[in-house]
Amino acid sequence: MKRSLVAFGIVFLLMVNIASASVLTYYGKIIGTAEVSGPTFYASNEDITGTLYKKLLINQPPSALGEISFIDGTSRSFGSGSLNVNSFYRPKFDFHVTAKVNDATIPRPLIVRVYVWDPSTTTNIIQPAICEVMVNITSTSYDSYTATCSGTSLLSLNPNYGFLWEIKGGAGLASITYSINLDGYTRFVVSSA
Amino acid sequence: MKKIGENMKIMSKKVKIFGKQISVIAIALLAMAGLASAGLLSYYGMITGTATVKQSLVISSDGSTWKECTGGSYDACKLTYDLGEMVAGDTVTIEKPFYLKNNLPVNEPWDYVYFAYKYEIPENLYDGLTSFKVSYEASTNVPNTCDKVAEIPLDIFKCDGTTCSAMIPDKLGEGMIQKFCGTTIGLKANTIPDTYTITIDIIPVERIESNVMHFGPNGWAGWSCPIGTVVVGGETIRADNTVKCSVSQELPWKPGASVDGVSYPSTPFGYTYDASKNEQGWIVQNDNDHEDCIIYVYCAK
Repeated sequence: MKRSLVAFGIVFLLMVNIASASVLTYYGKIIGTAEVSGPTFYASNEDITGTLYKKLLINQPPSALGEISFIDGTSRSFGSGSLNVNSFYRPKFDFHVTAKVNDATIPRPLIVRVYVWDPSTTTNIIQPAICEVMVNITSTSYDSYTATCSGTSLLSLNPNYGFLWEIKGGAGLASITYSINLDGYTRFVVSSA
Repeated sequence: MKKIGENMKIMSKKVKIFGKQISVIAIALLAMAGLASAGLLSYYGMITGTATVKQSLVISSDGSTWKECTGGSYDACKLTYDLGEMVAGDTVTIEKPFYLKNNLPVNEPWDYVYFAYKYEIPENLYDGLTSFKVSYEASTNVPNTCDKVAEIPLDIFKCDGTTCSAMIPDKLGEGMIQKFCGTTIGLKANTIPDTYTITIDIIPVERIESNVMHFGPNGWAGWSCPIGTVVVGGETIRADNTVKCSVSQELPWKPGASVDGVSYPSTPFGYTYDASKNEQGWIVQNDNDHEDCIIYVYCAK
């Protein structure tokens, strides 16, 4: 009698197992695929109050357009606001610049650098630069130039920190004047190196 | 006569089966009984019925073509979307609606299908999130608007090193249609650029009802999910009607949970959950009064 009860129990459990195995795991499944690209930093003609820097806008083409000019050996810089992150993957910067020089008999190098800076103090630029690259300006009228450089490691950041983009004349000739058109094209895009 | 005599002789013979002497007559009688019983009716009649079981909750991409996991085929109830491009540092609204319909006939008493949205996000994307909101609307017809917005707290996601997941319980009344209108995602500037796949599973949820809890002022009580299931939500309803009990706090009780200095598997009311079996539940603290309440725990596999 005991044996038959055990046998019945086993059969019943097997049946319950089979029944529960056939219950739905889900009513439906929704799958979405998204492409995430790195942020774009646009050079704006808007000044950062109390500084010589202009604004570097994250993912927002500038409404303040215009052009800036500077002589060889000097620079202009664009600073972003705080990134609010503690770290940044090893970055690769793709620069896009609309530029010209007053004398293009030979290519005139423009030095492009990106730093980490603290916009809350405005004087705190973290050395050295994350990366640096040269762009040869070859025309006396505005033209589009591109260049790329990468950081060497993951960036450890204070959440207050942002990026500072410095553009400097590197011809070694004081008579050369560089002009940058802040037209919405002048920007850099960050991706993972 | 002689022949009959010989037959009688045969009948009186015995054969040995499993070491026992059995008469040939007995074997012949058993064989005849067997033949006779084989000729009896197995049944007086046969009724054959075919039942088609429809899925209680079905999904659709357009609110008109409803999909169900026919025959247990999950490919049949799958929707796939291209969510487009998002830029790190931005807040993006992705409008890729889908619809859920409660297939149950509308009958008294009003009943619900309980389910949960199970979100699964790659950990690299989760690490880059600043906010995650969904908009939705429910109606007896296909909703045209999307007025309701729910923020999904990022701290409810659990990550395993590759994927982060969270389950949000929900319910849909008989005959109702819910439109999941879209998602608004805020991304940090340092979100790693990549192609990410986000999934939302609509999973069945069991609604477990507790005994009536006789709460005293600030008293605690809880109710567990069946072992083998995990808590996805809960609510506390008055025992005498359908109004929510006035509780001061209620929360899922599962590994990692803590409240007022007490951590899982201990509870503020003295019971210890069986952590070895991953026992989970919903615990409630009454506010400063006496109330009889029922705890409903939402549990999923």
